[in-house]
Amino acid sequence: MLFNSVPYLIFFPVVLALYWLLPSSFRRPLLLVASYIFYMSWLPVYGILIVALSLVNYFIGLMINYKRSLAKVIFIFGIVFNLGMLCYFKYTNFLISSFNELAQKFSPFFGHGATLPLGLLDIILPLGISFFVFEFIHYLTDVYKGDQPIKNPVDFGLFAAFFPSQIAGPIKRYQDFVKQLGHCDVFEAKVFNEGLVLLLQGLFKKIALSDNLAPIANAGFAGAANLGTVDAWIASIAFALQIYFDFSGYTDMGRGSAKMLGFSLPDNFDFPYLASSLSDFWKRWHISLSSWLRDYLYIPLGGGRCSRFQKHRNLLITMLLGGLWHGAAWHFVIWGAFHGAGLVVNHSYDEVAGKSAVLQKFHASVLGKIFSSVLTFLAVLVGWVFFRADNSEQACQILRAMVSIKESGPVLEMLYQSPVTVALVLYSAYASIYSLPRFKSLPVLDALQRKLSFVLPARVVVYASVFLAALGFCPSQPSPFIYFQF
Amino acid sequence: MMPAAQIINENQNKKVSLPGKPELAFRRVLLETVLLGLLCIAVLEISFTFAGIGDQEYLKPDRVCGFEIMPDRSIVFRREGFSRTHFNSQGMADRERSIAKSADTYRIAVLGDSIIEALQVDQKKTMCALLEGKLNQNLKGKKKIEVLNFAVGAYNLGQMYLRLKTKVFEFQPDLVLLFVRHHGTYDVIPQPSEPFPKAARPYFFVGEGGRLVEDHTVYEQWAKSKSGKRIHNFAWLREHSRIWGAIGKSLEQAGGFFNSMKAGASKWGADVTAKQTAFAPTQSDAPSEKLPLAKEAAPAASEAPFTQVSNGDNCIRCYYPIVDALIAEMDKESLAHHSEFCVAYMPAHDSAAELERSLIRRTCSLRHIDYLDLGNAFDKAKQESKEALYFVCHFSEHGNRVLADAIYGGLLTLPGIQRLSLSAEKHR
Repeated sequence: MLFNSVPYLIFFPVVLALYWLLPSSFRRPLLLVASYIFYMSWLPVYGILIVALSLVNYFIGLMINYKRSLAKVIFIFGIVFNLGMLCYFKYTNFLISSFNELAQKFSPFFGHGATLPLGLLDIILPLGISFFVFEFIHYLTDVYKGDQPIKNPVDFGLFAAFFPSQIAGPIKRYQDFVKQLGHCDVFEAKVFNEGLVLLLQGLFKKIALSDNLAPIANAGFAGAANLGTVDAWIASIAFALQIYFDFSGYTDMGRGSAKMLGFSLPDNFDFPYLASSLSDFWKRWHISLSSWLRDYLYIPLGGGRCSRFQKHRNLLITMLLGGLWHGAAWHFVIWGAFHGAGLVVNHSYDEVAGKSAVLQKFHASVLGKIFSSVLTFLAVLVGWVFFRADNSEQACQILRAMVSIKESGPVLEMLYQSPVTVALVLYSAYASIYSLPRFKSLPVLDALQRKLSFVLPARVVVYASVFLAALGFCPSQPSPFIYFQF
Repeated sequence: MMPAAQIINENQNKKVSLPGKPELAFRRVLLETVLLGLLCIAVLEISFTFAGIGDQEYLKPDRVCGFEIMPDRSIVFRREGFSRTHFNSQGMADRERSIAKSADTYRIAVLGDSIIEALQVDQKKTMCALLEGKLNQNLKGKKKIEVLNFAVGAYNLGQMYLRLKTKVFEFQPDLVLLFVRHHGTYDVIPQPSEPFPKAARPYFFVGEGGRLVEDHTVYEQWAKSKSGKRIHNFAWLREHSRIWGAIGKSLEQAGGFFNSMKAGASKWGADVTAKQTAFAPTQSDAPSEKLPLAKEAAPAASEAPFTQVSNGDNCIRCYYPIVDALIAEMDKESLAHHSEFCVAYMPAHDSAAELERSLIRRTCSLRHIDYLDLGNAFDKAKQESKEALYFVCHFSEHGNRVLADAIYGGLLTLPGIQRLSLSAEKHR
């Protein structure tokens, strides 16, 4: 079930109505059942998987807390179990195909037997498995470090399967979630309103922006071999915007749905394309993942409080694994390595710039800020080309086209045909009212912003308009959420 | 940020302190809301206009032909391919044409359905436009040649016949070119359960003595139905509001989901994709599968032996007499209006259409009607060309080019065009 689908349009209002109408003692079981229905609507048999994973981790958490003397062993078992599940479902076929390729290359040395290919396994990647596993690892690690485990199995099941964050995050922290379980009984109109704004905003981002950018990016990447210069730039930028609107749209819809149920999920994005450095970008992009990687990978590796070499090594390892987490393919590994290397350069430059008054002055100026943001965006764009391309050869073709001078054609034509430019203008207007800081210095705009944000009849009109606009711009063939595959 | 509750409380405080003001405050909020609503509608209408959204409604009900194109309407077509099309003041997918015909003009009126209407490509790249250009370029003589596109999407042969009588002859065509699409026979069978526009089609039956009987029962029933009344009542909105169009499109998409639920399909997306990628009616789409009568019926028009087959042939045999009578009637009407008449059979994608093809060929042969079969030209193009002929089930730019070339070659064999050709040679 997708957030932007007709089934969800029926499912969510029903769950919402039941949730607020039922006595508070029924609400958590209701949410748990709803979350399992949500998950099983995709592939019912994988409902068993999520229940089994939840049960195993629930008992491991309890056992770590109960048997502190054996905590380390149990904890390691838990981590191996979770990573094993992730590796089996996500990386088995990748490893087999990589082995086959390698065997093919080395067949002259190892004889004919080495060319015999291993058959790929018939594995369907369970939706959101990576997100589940990350949340379980976080849970077990924190319990191992001394935090209290979740005692109530319903609460634990809900933490694991909560449908607004089930498939593509944001990656929750269980301490925050459990705290909210105790305070979600009171209906607050303000929170509900904020949730509705987020839900509609996410819907618009997904179906009006991302889904209209998708065909442009797809056409560009599919025809990478014959792209013109402008075509290559349009395709790359279209994908950069598509993935942002797709993922942040999904997150907004998830956070909005959660808010309407009285839960607050962590934010995942903070205008990432305005970042002034790669380091800043990772503080603004997929925040819940980057903070997870920081807390459960980078810091355990030694973090930044060690020698320069070790720090850079830790950064590279973290980003490489982050890249591999995104997908079992070499171009994701290259993407991760690119960002890792970029962060190493970024940190090294920061050290140099910290000692130079001229560089500090430059970066404090408007020109310096614009320069930094543009340069960061270009670096991120190059990374996205590797991320989106089917393979590294295709990525190189696109990058070559971007720096060569070739006549443009089909992708530019697609941009001209697409309604996405108008949708972007509308979104900018909407975001300036609801997402940007208040225009306190401009009284007229401030008054308008206040009225549209707080006065109920005005809100209803704006919400209806956003919904209509989203429906209007929705293309006849919606694209799947990009992050579902991870 | 100030929470909503505080703002409301501020207003409530005002109510208490200033008796008589609440009504004013209410009116003010009401007025502001109405103004904001109007502003939002205007913003959406303007945005949709610029983006080319919500203007897919271009057919309006018509008592004679069932439905027709809204005149003087511009649309952006995205369902398949892409075009920014303007329908002229005569309700044709063509540039503006004068009804009056000058003496130095040779007019070809083209009748067909969505394939000839060709909204999938730019209006200058449709088969009609390309054919006009080609004829004028190659037969440059004293006469200017006009190829008028009277095709309307979803029209059946009966509607083409009615359009010929009510609209086409006003333009005094010298040649009427009727395009019959493969499986066109299916469309002469009443399909009242289909949504608009198909539900609003008039139909023809072959009555006693082979007489053609016009029947508007399906149209009348549809006009009285909820859907018919809605389309009638909201005609202005359909024609002028893009928001209305956008809502209609969304309901159509949601309808796809509910239909697939009814059909027990597990995945809406998969179902929609499968329907869109299918080039032609699948066996389950064929009326022979939908109408029990067609399955059981004995062949009426064909001398071919009747066998129980499930590829739609029985259905074609059963209903072909209507096609036969309509073609004959169109020929008769054309002669009465001093126009030549020619039937072009559109390329068939599968062998299931072979029977229909042979029946049409036979009809034309028996009635001495000029007949152009474009199947071979398309088979050749399919083999030779690397470019796709179709988007999904309508012609791409390349497909339109191939069609125009094929028709051009065929037209040169017709007496009227041969005369033009001779005159052009003399002129040179």
